[in-house]
Amino acid sequence: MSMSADNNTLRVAILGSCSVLATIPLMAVAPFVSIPPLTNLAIGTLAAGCTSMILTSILRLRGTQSSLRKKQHQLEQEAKALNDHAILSMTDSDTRICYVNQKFLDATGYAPEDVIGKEPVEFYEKKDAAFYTDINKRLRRGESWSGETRMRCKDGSIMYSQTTILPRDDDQGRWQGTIAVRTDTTEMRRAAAAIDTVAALRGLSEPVVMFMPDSLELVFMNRAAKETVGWSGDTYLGKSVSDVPLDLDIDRLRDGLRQLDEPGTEQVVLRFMHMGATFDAGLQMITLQSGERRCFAIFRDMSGEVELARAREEFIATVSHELRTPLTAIKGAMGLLLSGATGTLPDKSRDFVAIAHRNAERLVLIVNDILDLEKIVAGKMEFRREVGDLCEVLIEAKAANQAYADQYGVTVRLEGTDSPALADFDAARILQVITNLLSNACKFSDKGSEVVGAIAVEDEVVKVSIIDNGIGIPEEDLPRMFDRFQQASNADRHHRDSSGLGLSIVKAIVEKHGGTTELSSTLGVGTTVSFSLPRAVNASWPKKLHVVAG
Amino acid sequence: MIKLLHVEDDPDILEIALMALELPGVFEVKQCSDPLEALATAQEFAPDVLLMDLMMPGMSGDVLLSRLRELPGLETTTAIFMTARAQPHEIQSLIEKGAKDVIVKPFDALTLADQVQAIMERP
Repeated sequence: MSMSADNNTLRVAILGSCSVLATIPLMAVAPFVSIPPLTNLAIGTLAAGCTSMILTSILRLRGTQSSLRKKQHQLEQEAKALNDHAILSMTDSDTRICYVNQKFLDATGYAPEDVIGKEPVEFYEKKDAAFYTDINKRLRRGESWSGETRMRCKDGSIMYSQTTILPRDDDQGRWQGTIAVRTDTTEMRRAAAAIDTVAALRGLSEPVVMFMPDSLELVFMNRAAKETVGWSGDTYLGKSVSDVPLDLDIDRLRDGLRQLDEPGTEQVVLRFMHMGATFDAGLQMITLQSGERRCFAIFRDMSGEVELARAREEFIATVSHELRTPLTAIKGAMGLLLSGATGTLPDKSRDFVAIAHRNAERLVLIVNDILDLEKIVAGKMEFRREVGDLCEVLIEAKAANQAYADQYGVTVRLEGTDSPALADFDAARILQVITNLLSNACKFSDKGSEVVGAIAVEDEVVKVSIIDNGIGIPEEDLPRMFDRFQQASNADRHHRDSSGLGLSIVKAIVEKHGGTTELSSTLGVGTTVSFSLPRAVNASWPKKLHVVAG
Repeated sequence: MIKLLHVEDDPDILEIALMALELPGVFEVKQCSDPLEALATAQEFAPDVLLMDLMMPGMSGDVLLSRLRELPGLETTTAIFMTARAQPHEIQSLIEKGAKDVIVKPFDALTLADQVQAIMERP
């Protein structure tokens, strides 16, 4: 703070050399600056009066000076209190920052030269710029503004502050800029966010446990975690993870924690059993602001997934055994008959046994394909692809499905098979795809209805569509129909006899050919399943396709 | 003649396998449709090779093998399983339980005897 005087004013400056907060006119001094000439008596009288007046004025001036000193002291104290508590900044009449206090520099990390002369909006969050432009308009109208602001600090972090901005004018009421007083509320917000986070964790349905990674001392368990182990309240405090009645091997846990220390490892999942249920514990390490580390464990009950996986495995094993055992007898008997081990067969009989044997081989191939689905998806199955006419396969599939169609009283009609539809494909696999789609269409069609198998040659693909007028698939089931072990919710399993694998096999095989599958359906109207393979042009075609193995 | 004990619960497969194994005339085949029957007769028959189904009612093939191994004279007899449960990990598990190999169903009747002989002769 400083004081200075000239002919007309006594200037009181605070808050640093560049700012002027109070300009006090020296009205009491002005009458003594110019005194007119007078007579002796008058002078004498006047002298006596003047002496009295001067003395009075001097006393009054001294009183004023004393009052000013007190005012100055008070202002100094107020300024110090303000500076110690608040973040202050001032803008000039061009809305450029002309003053910031030390608190401002400490809080934001900027140096004075980073901010002086800049517009405040440069330090606000970009998305808030329009908001601050509006505030500035209010200030120019002489209105003050209070609210929360977000400033970008030098290190890129955001400083939240409770802010009051006042318009600043001179003694003539002219706009001089603004003065902003801020209180940093970032920590308060963080604390509030932390409280919200903890509240959310407490209510989370998944069990969550937090503990110290070295001592394994528990520091947090949410309600779900406590319910899982039969605890309540804060009884976990002071206990160790090893005290928690879970069948979680502590040595494995420590191994997991060590893995978390390895670079690039963000999460480690440990599987363990508890009360007959399978759980996965997802471990993650977090570092607190204090630098201390905590381990978060989020538990997931995996029993459903494990049971599903087990059911799938069991299903595959059952299919494998139940189909392969009779096939062993069929194929073995046919093979022995054909070998002549039971005597020479008449030619006609031998032809029929050969047909039966060949189709038994085809069944073996299909069973193996189902069991190899995992391999297809894993990319470990080989496809013997060559350029051929998809029309031939569609015709073959129709013939192969004739008995099935007859069983359901459905007619199969083909479209677009008059001209070649060339693609690069494994004939046996695509036959399996089309057979699967045709049998599905027949199975879910009404007796007496028609199923259409259509081929369309498009610019870059050949598209095969199997269209039925059957019961259709509910819209909500459509997205998952190509998933394994899925069936439409309206499918009558007892009468429709589906494994739930058909469409996923179709999809896997088509995708291995670089193709795509589509499914559209309207409940009660019918279903269209299509697949598209990349169109091929190959001079080596046409040639005879050998679709049936054996 | 190679003495072969075949244990299989499916009568059709028993019949087909019998014919298939006897085709080349190198095997003397004894068949049992029940694991307990196999346990009762194995020691007396003293087979050179055991050919067993895996999934049988009452006792699975791997349990039968461990019981047969307890009988004098059968501790190291070549054991071959015939099974439709032929996923790689299942085959590996059976070999770890003492089988020399696994023949996958459906087997080829015309080459079954050759397959068994080849497995027996393998070191």
